[in-house]
Formats: sequence, structure tokens, C-alpha cells
Amino acid sequence: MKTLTFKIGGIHPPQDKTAPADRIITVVLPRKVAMPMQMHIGAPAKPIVAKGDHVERGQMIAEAGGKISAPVHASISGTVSAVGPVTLAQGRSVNAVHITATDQDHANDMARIQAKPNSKPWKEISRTDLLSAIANAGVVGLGGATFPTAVKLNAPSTPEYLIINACECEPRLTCDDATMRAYPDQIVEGTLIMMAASGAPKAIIGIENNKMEAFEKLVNASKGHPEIEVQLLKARYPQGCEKQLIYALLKREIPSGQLPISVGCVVQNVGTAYAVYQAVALGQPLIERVITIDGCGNYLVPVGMTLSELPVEGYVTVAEADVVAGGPMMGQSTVTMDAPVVKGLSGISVITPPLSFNPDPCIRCAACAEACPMGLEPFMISTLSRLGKIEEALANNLMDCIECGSCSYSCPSARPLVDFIRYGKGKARALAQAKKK
Amino acid sequence: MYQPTQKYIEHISPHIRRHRTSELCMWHVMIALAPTTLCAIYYFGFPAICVVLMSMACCFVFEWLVSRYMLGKVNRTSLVAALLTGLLLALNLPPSIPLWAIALGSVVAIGVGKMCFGGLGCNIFNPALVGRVFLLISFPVAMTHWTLPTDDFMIDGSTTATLLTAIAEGQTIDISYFKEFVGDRAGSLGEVASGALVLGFIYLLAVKVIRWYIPVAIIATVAIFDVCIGVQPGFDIMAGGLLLGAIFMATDYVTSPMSPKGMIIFGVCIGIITVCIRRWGAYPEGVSFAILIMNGFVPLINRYCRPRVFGHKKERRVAA
Amino acid sequence: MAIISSIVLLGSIGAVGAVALNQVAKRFHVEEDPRIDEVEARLPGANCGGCGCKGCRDFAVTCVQRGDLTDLYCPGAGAEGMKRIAAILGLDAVAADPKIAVLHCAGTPDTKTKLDAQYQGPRNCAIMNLTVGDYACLNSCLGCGDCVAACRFNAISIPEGSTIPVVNADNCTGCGLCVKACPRNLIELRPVGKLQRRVWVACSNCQKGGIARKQCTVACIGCGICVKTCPFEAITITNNLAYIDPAKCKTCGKCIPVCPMGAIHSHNVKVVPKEAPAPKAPQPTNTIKKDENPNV
Repeated sequence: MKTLTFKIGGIHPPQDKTAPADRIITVVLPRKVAMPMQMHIGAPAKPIVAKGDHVERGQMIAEAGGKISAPVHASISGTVSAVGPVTLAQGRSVNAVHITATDQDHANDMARIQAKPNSKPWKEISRTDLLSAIANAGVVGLGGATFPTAVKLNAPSTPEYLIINACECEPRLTCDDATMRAYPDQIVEGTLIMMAASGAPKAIIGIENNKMEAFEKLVNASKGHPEIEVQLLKARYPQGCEKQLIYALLKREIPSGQLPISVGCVVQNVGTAYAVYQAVALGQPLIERVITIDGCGNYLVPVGMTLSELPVEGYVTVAEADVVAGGPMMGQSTVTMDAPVVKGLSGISVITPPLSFNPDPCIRCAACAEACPMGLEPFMISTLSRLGKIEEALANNLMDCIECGSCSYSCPSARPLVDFIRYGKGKARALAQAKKK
Repeated sequence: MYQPTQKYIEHISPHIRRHRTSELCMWHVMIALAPTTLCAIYYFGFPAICVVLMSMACCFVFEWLVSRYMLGKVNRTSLVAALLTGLLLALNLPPSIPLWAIALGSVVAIGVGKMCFGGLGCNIFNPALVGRVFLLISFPVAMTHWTLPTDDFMIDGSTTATLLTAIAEGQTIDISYFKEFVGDRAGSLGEVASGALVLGFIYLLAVKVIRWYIPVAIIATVAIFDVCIGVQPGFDIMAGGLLLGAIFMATDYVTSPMSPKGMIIFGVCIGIITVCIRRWGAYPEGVSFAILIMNGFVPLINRYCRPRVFGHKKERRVAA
Repeated sequence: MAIISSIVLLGSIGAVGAVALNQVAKRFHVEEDPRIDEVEARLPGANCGGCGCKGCRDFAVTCVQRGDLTDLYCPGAGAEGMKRIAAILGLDAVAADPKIAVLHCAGTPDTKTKLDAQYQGPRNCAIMNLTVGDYACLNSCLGCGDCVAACRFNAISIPEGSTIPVVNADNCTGCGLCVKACPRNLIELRPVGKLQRRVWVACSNCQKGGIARKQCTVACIGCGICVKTCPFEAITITNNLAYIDPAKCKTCGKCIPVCPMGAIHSHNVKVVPKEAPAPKAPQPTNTIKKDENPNV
């Protein structure tokens, strides 16, 4: 089979995938969780429990707050101790349902986990029911964007391809790799469910060639399903971005400003496929996920568990570090570990020593333009944004930037390119909103 | 308790960077120039060392003075860039040039060529070439006083004409490609040893500091053009500063186009202008002028040779 | 002979060119109301956009074309300037309250609680605001001076040694450029007020009292004492944050001494000292300790 990749730009950052992907450590359920109401893109969920209520593991505690939203389920049994703000790792506060478990609750939960549920047949279920099952389970995109999966699967037109994003092009993260190695059959099953839910007749699983073991396992698992193709891709960043992935697999370009459905595709993360399997076949809502702790391993963690309570071994506390929620290319810096795990958290990367901020003048070497996977000229739009010339930046296709960070990564003068492009995009959105009014 | 750090540093993504700084790129270029410089010292002896050291020292000091007292901020990268400019300027000078002329050339290279425009990254023209052309026009005698390589390390060799001057004056000469390749001939410090220059080119390609488009475009254009007008192409390529210019001067990041397409247009134009000046112009050597002329067109080339944006149908329109 | 021929030749070229230019100028001449230029001359020329038009020229054109000055007010020119413009156009100037930018934050490194975090990146508020910054309060001034850079009238500055901007009342036109520039929406345009008297809450912290108190020693904790004190019902509390409605406020200054956090600031208002000493604000803890993290 030919190993595919996308055409323009792209970089090869050091992989540093030191967290072993061969096993997933299951974390003992905590006694206390905080379930944030905003773990997805869209409207925050509305709590449907109050202080003092008793909730069971897997019970819905907050309903979707709008069309694009997702419900939240309790990840442990216990009593609601408060409905109030919680600080996320990135430092912002959101509303959350705080649950505290007694010893009895804890024992009940552990017993229930021990008794593994049997897979239910789902082939008879109609498309609408599948979609509502996925929606009610609170499944969102686990690649990091956290877009509600059911909304994405319910595309305005029937897609030709369902694309499963198993690239994991971010350095350091191995959570998708670990998931694929641990649950290949379940992922294939989840893919079949999503194909039924979206109406797509074919599915392609795109996986980078630095995860050969996972690739082989998936090939074996999908043997009886000719409609699922497992395609090997050359390891290259940012292959996991929708536009680049679709181009690499199908040589189709998403027109500027449009969604993958415009070229007949729906893209879902491989972790999402597993979550969909759990939601539909096992009836378990999205209450746990696999996260990578940089350098230490992969952990199956209940959503809402405090990060600092994770039983991580083999790490060293350093004096200062850039601790990133997600991978080092697109993750956000955190300011605390006393924060709950959210659905979109793929891992914690610890960057030591942290980058210093000491930019040199631009020497117009065009390394950024060479690296840009969108064919933009980052030095230009970044400068225009910095100078506040938003209209001109827009004329230079500011809004096509996917903020992958390839430009900042390659810049020999260490210039804050993405920083100012983001700034410009924010201004441009504000400008567009002002115009609407 | 998972507590990876005591102090959290907040950074906008990406949180990692490639281990390549602008300064490192410039050191790479200087390393690539080392064989050429050593050849020059081997052939021209002590005067060559004087020229190189004087030029680099003058550029460095003048850059420091301007950044310290006029811009108020000394930038390390910019100082290294000044060193590189000094080295390139030295390699563009004849070994017998008086030291005061070098100082003057350095001042013009750094002051007029670079700092006037706002310092590193803002200049339109290659600073070393600005210095060189200034000297060439102001002191034509000193600048065209060529000496033959000498065996005696401490004294100047006998005066002679370069190959190109000889051709321009209508003399017939024997061309020895071997002599040109190893550098046993008269000329500027950096243009005599073609082999050393090619070695530097290979090094720069290997460490990925430059891309091949510009040098190859220039050399190929000169070769094709020479064939068309019936001149031996090998001679034109090896003689004079063509290789030095194509590999080290035209590929300067700041003053060359950004896209591969632009780079090729840039290189082709330099090749054509060089041959035109050499064949029909008043000066025997034309690479410096060709590069400077095309430097002026770089903003225009950049404007019309832009990459196609992913997801856009046609070539994107030229933005104002 | 050569001299004469060149004089004749060049002269005739010049003459032909002059005639051509003249014709072209006539052909493409655009009639424009001369009053537009007159009006524009009265405007500050900063193109600040405070009037809602695209720039000063656009404002002048709009004034002349509309023939009515309702809703057209140049904050830069002020009431005086608008009167002159009205005189040029023979219209009545529509009075508008002059406004001034007011900063709803008084937090300094001494009052704010530092996080165990440090921002490294461009010193630019809008970019810094993509992270949480160095301090616990997420509604406090970042102090990088986006507003200073935005101002075209040199009316806002961060003095040496200070971390928060100060508005220069003499220069501020109330155009609102700084309001748009502030990523945390800390700046509000408030009426200059009679005799330059104004009272405002210098805080934007929306957290509950206890949390706000821990985040900053001069934060509004939403305690509501000012609401009870105000004789004119000008103060309301939304989201644990007091707001003084400038339309109702009579600048009596009674609310200023009663605020336990000292979060109500004023300008030109005589503060009546309170009879009883204000309850002392509790000493802030330097960092939010883990077990008493107010958010959990």
C-alpha cells in the first residue's frame, strides 16, 4: 500500500512520544469530582441536579444547553456537594457540578466496573435513534476541538466518506495510539456505528506510519469489513488537521471557509469512535477518557477527576516548566493541576525548559511560508495583524489560518507569528460582528 | 500528587521551536565560506588576512556603534550578521586594496546598505555588495589592481589582469579550468577558488540553510545564454565573482524573493543581466550590479509570486 | 542652432503636455461641495471613528449630505467644534454629552494575588488575554498598554512605575478607541459630568465576594453597602459587581467612604468622611492555597 501525505507545507517536529502506548493504566475512581458544564464547543450544558441530590455513575446531570451542545454525565456515584465554579487547568472558571462519593458509593461503582457489560446489538437501531443515542451519551470530538459528535454526524447532506482521524500528529501524545492498541475491535465497531449514523457508505482510518503496531491491529480488526479501509500516512505535522487529512487521503481540497461535508467527508477522531462504541453498544456515556501524561504513560481517567490526584509515577517536579494541556504544538498552557479532567483533554505535556520569549527581527527567510500547510504567508498576515491592518490581513487570507503553529515553530528569529495571527483573527471576528449590527 | 512544576510558564502555542536560530544560519554561512577564505589566504598570503580581519572588524564595530548609539538597542543576531557582511565584503575585494578603503567600504556597507533602512531584515540591497560597488565606483584603480597568487607569504604578487578584464580588453588568453577550479589565478579574494565555493554550496544545501533555486537558476541561465551568444559557458561561470555571487550573495535571505517561483525568476534575471554587463557593458564584471539591480525588484517579485492558498480555486489576487 | 532646436523641441513637448493635462483635468473634474472641506478642516483629523463614520472625511461628507446633525457628533471636535460646523452648514448643533474614558480596575501588583504562573510572550494585552496572565483576577488590567497604543489624542498613558493606565481628562475626547482596544472590556465611556464630577466603581471582578476578596484587595465584592447608601438608587449589583448608573448618580459621594474595599473612585468629588471607621479589609493571602481554593 502507498503511504500518503498532504502536499504543501508541513513540518517534522521531534516526536518525543516517550509515554509508552502499549498499556493503559486504569485509574481508581476518585472520591470527589467536578464536572464542568462547558467541556464542548457550543452552549454550556444546563445542570439538572441540585445540591444534595444523589447521582449514580453514568446518570445525566446536565442536559444539552442548545442545538450545538452536549449533556454531561456523572463519572462517579455520590452526592452533589455544590453547583458552582471550578477553575480549569488553563485558569478560566466555568460552572460545574461537584460530586462527593461515600465509601458505599465508591464500592458500588467499583463492583459495577468489575461486572463488564455485554455488547448490545445495534444494527437494528434506526439512524435517528443512533444519533440521539450518541447525543444523549454526551459524546464530543475527543481530538481536542470537542465539537458534539452527533451534530457533526448529522450532516446536511449524506457524506461519501467517514474519515477516522488516527494521525495523532502532535508530538508527545500517545493516547490515540494506546487506545488503538488496546481496543482495535471496539474502534472498528464504533466506526461502523458512526457510518450507520452518518449514512456514509465508506470509511477510511488514516493512521501515521509511526504507529505500525496500532495500524496492524486495526487492519486485522477490520478484515471482515471491506467498507472500512485503513490507510497508512507519512508522519508529518499537521496531518491531523481535517483539511490536511482529507487532502492526504482523498486528494480533495476543502474550499476556503467551508466544512469537510462540502467535499463529502465527515472527520471523527479515533478516540471518538471508541466513545461512540461505548455509548451505543455498551450504553455507557462519555464519562472517562484516555489521557497521556508526558513521559509517564497513558491513563484511563474519569472525566471530572482532579489532575493533581492522578496516580502518576516517574515524574520529576521541576522549578519551572511550560505545562501544556494537549500537545506542544496546539495545546494551551495550564496554570494549575488542581483542575478537573475535561472531555477534550488529550494529555499533559511538560515542556522543560520552557521557551523564552526573545524574538529577533524578521530576516525574511520565508521559513514560515515554506512550513505553512495552508499556503499562507504568515510573516505578512502576522505583521499586518500586529499593526492593526485587519482588512489587509483579511485580503491576505487571514481567516484561512488553522493556527497549527508550524510557522512559529520554524521561525529562526523566534517571532510570535501565531500569537499575532490569533490576535488578528479575534479582531476580524469582532469587526465582522460589528458590521452585522 | 501529580505536580510536574512549581511555576507554570504560560506561552501561546506552539510550545516548542525548531533548534535553528537566525544567528545559527549566519554561522553556517560563515563556515561555508571558510574553505574560500582559507584558499584566499593560501594564495594571497598575509594581505588577504589583513583584508578579511579589517573588513570584519570594521563592520562589527560600526554595527555596534550604530545600534548602541542611534537605535539604542544592541541585537546579538544583528552583530553576527555584520560579521558575515564583513567577511563577504572582504571576499569581494582585491588583496592589494588599502586598509582605509576597506574601512570606508564597511561604513558604507553597514551604514548605507543596512542601518539606513532600519537594521537587520529591513534592507533592500545586499549590504556587502553596496559596500563593494561603492568602492568599485569610487576607487576604480585600487579596486581593479589585481595581484597574482604568490608563493611568498608576506609580499604582494606581481600585478596582472583578471580573466574577465583581459577578455574585455580584447586579449586572447589560455583558459585553464583546473587553475580556475583550485584558484590559482588573479581576482578578488573570494572569487579565485571555484572548488572551495562549490564546497560551501554543498555544505549550505546539506545543512538546509539555503535552497538550490537561486544559485542553480543563475548558473544555468549564464550557461544557456553563453551558448546562445557563442561563448564558452564554463569560462563565464568559473571566472569572476559569479559563483561567489550566486551562492553567497544572491541567496541572502533578506534581499532575495521568498517563493521558489520568485527565486527562479530572480536567478534567471541575475544571470541575464550579468552576461549582458560582461559582454556589452563598460565593466568587465557584472555580478554585483546584477544582484543589486534584482534586489530592487524583489518586493515586486514577492508580490506577484505568491503561493496558492489551500482551498482557493485560482491564484490569489495580489493584495494591496 | 542646436540650442534653438532643443529649446523649440522641448518647449513644444512641454506645451503639448500642458494642454493635455489641462483638458484631462477639466474632463475628469468632480464637483464637490466646498463645505465638505470646510467641515473637515474643523475636525481633529485623527480618523478615530468615534462618530461612527469611517473617518473624518466621511463624517464631513455625511454632515453635508444629510443636512441634519441629529446623531452626528464628533467627540474630538466637542460641543464647540460642532457648533462651528453647524454654523458652516447653517444647521442647529445637536447637543451631546461629552464623555470621557474611565478604567474599571485599580488593581496593581501590590493588591492583586499572583498565580504560580508567568506569562511569556508579546507584551500586548490582546495576546496576553489568550492566556490567563500572571494574576488570579481575570477581569483586571493587563497593563500592556493596548489602550495607550490605540489612543490618537495622547490622552491615556501608563505613568512610569505604574501598571495601570491613567486617562488625561484634558486630552480625552471620548471617542471610544480605547474601549474597543481593551480585551477585557475594562474601559467605559462615562459622561464627563457637571463640573467634571464623576463617581465610578474601579473594578470589573464578577466573582463572588469571598473569591474576589482573595483575588484582589481593592476588588468589588458585591456586598451591596453602596446600594443601600445611595440616596438616588443609582447603584445596582449584577454578577457580584456594583455599577453606578451615571444618569442617576448625583455625585454626592456618599458611597465612596462606605465601600469596605475602597473600590469606588471619584474625580472632583468631595468625600464626606464616614463617622465610624470603615471595617478593615482582611489581609490578603499571597497565594490561593490548595485546600482553600475558592473554586473547588
